[in-house]
Amino acid sequence: MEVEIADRPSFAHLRVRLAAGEKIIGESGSMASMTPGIELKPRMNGGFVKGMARKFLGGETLFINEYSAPKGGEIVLTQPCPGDVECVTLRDEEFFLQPGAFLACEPGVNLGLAFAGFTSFITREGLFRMRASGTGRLWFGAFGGILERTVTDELVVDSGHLVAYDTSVQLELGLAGGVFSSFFGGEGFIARVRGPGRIWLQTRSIDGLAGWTNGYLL
Amino acid sequence: MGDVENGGFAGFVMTKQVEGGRAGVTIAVEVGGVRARLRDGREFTIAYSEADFERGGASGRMIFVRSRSGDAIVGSEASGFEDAIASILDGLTRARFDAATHRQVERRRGRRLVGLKWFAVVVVAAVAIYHILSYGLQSATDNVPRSVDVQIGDAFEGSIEAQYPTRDVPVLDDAFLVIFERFKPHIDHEGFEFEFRFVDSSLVNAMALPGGRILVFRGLIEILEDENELAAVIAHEIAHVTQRHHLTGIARSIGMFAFVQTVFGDYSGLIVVGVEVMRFLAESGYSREQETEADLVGVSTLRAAKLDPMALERALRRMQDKVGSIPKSMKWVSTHPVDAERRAAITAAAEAQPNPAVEKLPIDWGAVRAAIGVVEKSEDKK
Repeated sequence: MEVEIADRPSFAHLRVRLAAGEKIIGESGSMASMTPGIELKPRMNGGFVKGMARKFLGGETLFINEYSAPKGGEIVLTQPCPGDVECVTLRDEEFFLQPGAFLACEPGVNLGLAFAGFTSFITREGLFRMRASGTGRLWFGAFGGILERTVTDELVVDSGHLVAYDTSVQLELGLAGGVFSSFFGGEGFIARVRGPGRIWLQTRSIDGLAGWTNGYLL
Repeated sequence: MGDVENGGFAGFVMTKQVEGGRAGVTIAVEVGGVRARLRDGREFTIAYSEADFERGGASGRMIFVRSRSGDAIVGSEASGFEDAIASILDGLTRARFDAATHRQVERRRGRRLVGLKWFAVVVVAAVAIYHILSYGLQSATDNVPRSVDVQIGDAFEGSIEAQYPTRDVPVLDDAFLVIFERFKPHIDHEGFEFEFRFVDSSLVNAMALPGGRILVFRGLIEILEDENELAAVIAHEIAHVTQRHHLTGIARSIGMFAFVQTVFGDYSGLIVVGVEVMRFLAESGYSREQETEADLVGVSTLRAAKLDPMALERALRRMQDKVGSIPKSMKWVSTHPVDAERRAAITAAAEAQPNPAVEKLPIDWGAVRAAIGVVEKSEDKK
């Protein structure tokens, strides 16, 4: 399977060339185009309960689509918001994605849901997160560009910017500064990310865009 | 990943020697150190004597073994991994391991305590802000001229009239007037424009519009037993007007917008927005607190006007029998108090003070009902 992340970083999408008999799992609604020979099979990821959990707790769709190409073909997968797409390769390990970040994965990757804790909820990162495990490539999207950081000690991340991280990463709730400076400085709550592990950040946040837009609507 | 795989613990290794910098491994806890084995057979060993230990990860239960050279980090949260290492270590190395892993636990507990304290502060602050804003909105509402209520009611009347056309019934209109005149000395009516209208609809309902217009539906009069119960329902509706529940509801719905508008004395915007919000409030009704307040004020008005306060309880019971009540199990989602609770509160308020002797209203109830087309059962028999 050949996968190219095209039109990076602003309007990144996946161009997937499937050899005969190959498959790729895509988020529901992510398909922009595909050659006629590709078969689409929607399914609930992990059954009804897990699928419902993904939708209502994980911020993902109820169904995921399995695209298979008996004779080979090409498919283009996109994400709903403008921004970059990143790929990680799981090697028999687990990985966390923020709600809405999942775009596609190879069949060897299993998707589930994990409680993210109240720290994640308060910092507006969601009460639940997607847990990907197994072996294979995984693609996720973000709003804006994507920064990868390897955290060995600690890194301060503003709420709404965390996209994906290793399971070895710990999130702790904190204030950007003192009480006054945190809230009147506009930063509010932040997440103290403790390593070791890798994290991926988006350079823009949807909340930030919403706040900026609201200023023009009032 | 299972906790124990092939005689080892499921975990990961972070090292530049692995493509991507990280891979899942099976970890063997051995006497000299931990040995991480990749699926492809490659192995990485970190000697305890050359390692630092740490607890962390997303779950807070992951144990890390870091090589001091920075070459590799091995980690696992598999059950038994921590105990397996602890059981092998001794002496100073064991002390280092215990100190490092327990320090993380203590640190985590400390942060959790701080988090709980902050949570408590945020909850108290939220409650305080709610009450301050409620007080501010109530104060702002009190300062709005009553003519604004009347204007909102006038502007809203059109859509209500289209939905529920009213008509004149002289006998009933006279009865409304008699009741209102009895109440007038005992209510704060200055600035409001009270007007009572009959709606020829089978709905069991009465409705007050901002400013004083009160609609009484045929369906309600049909189920009421006498003129005292009609007076009680009207006392309740008048209380919604005099307590300015509509304006409070509008202010709460549009929040700070209303507050700012009223502070700056620009009521025109408030009227426009208020009419729109009234359309919503007409569907959703009053809050639980407002209904209860209207009941209690209604009881006071009835007592002051030398009418039976318990007539309100009876009227409410008849309405409940006719249209059904809100199940108690739904109380938590309802904005209206459960009817049984309302009736109990009315009874308690009515019995809280001695009631003066009732002075009968000069209303021919039979004539009122006949005027709106109610056929009495006794007449049926004839």
